Amino acid sequence: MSKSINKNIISAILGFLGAANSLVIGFYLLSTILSISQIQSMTFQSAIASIAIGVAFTSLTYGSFEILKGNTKKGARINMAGGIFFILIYIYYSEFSQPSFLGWLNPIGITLLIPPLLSGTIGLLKETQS
Amino acid sequence: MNIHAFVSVMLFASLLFSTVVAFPVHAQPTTQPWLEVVPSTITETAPESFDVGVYIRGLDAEWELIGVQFLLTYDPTFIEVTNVTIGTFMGNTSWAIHGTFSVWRIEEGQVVYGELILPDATSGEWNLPEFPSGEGLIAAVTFKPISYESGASFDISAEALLGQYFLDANTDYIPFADPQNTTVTYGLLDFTYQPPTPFAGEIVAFEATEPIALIGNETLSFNTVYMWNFGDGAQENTTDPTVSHIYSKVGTHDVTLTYYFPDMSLTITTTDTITIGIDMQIALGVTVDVGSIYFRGEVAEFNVLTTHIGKAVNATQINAVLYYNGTELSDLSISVQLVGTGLYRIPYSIPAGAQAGTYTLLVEANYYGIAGTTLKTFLVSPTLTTTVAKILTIENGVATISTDIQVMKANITAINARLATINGDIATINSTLGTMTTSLSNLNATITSINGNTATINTTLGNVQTKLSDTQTTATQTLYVASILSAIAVILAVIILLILRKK
Repeated sequence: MSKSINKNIISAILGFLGAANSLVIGFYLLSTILSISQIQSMTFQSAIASIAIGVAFTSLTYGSFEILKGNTKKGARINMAGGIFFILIYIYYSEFSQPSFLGWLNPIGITLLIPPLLSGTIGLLKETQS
Repeated sequence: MNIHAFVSVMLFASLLFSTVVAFPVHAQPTTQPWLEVVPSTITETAPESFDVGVYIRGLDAEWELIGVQFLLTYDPTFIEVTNVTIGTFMGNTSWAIHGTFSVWRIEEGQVVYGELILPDATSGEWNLPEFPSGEGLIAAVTFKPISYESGASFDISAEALLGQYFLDANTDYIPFADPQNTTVTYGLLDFTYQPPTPFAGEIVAFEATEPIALIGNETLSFNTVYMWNFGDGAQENTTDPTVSHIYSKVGTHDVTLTYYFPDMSLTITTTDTITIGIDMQIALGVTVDVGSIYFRGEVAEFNVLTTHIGKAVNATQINAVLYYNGTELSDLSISVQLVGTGLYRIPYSIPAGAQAGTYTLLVEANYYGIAGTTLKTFLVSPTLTTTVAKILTIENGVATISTDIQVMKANITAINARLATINGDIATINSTLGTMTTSLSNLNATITSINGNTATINTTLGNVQTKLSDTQTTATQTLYVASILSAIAVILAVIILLILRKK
């Protein structure tokens, strides 16, 4: 197994891990919103969370498959973009939403954001070196 | 030429034209004829018109009467002539074998009438088989009422025309006796009531005099609407002259009765005063409703009804005093509020530190010197332990609480209400009354923070932390696990990359 193939596998795994992390955060957000919706209306928050998590999961999964298929550059860029979008979602629900949904998870929650970013970084560095 | 001369000229012109030979002188009878004005029998209840007949009486055939003339006068303010009908007397075929000639003219306030038995057209002589005699109707005049005046009267008179009534076959005037006229008298418009000194709450029977016009011995009635104003704000219109009314206010009232005559578009008003007294023999009824049970901090409402002879009346004075354990607790007189006629409410907030037990409310009322007193007791209970209490609404710090006993109001500060737990959208509240539940929407609940599966909720009754759900617990745990796995994965990836880089 060549060094290049190994890096692609690592990049793809990290991408899939990022997609899984987006699902976990989405599950938490939606269950929380569902629980407190009896107390105050959360329709807007629910819609935003569903769409954002759907976009992040789809992009990271697609990017990871592209890396596995050998389209490393394309896949890495998609994962990098998905990772950045994932970070924006986390920052919004951690710092800006009322009430704060993910603020309590800091700083350990940051580890959920690293895999997709690392996936994109590995892929882009590999393309630069080659 | 005036109308009087007109009729006379017409009669005498006819007479001279037909007379060529003077009648022989004859001896005069001892009785002289006269005219009599007689109203016809009025059978209808409210006729639109009435008839007056002008009759000749006491006529002897020896007078050889061939002509009659008269002036029928009346007051045009009250009646007007609608028709004149020729009578049957002069046209009797026993003497009017050549027919009759009649003439009349209607003017304001009078009717001029003349009638002549015609002579033989060829000879111009009254060679009649017999001359008129006895009595009979000369003419009938139909009148229509146009006005009414209480107590007014006037005559309908048959007056002589140019000083004469009757003419004989020699064109001489026949001596006459004084006519018998008829008088029209209008009834007084007034009303009476019974009893003469009525009490408040007592039925007062009013009776209006019916408007009538006496025409000779005949009675003319009128279509009438009686419009009553009893002077206390009540009004009633009837077609019956009797009406009853009950006064609730003591004092003097101006009663106005307006007669409305629709056929004449005429109204006539009469006024009298009535003094309503009070029956000192009948006590003032005082009914008090205080409910049965109250709780500390609850806003109680007592109701008082004052009645006299079964009718609600406003008391001239009302006092309410609350007693507990044999001593006066509070004078609530200043809190008495009038809600409706005779109905009062007394709001009272049960103090948070009120003693549990039986309380007594004593109410004394006075109504123009008549007193009434009553008392009612209620219970103040320490808690709602035996009830299922639920707060329905909270407005301006006052909670409306539904229990299996009653719906009551309580000040949330006075009952020291505080939020205990929240389960879903149901909040449990502890208070000095006991435990109650309510919807979170009544507490203006907002979530201030979320920590994993725990939410901090702020309400008008304080903050509370609540566990959200079991699913939320699973999601939180999953989040922790994912974070740890991600950290491990990142570390492994970095190590592998470093190893690959060395190779």
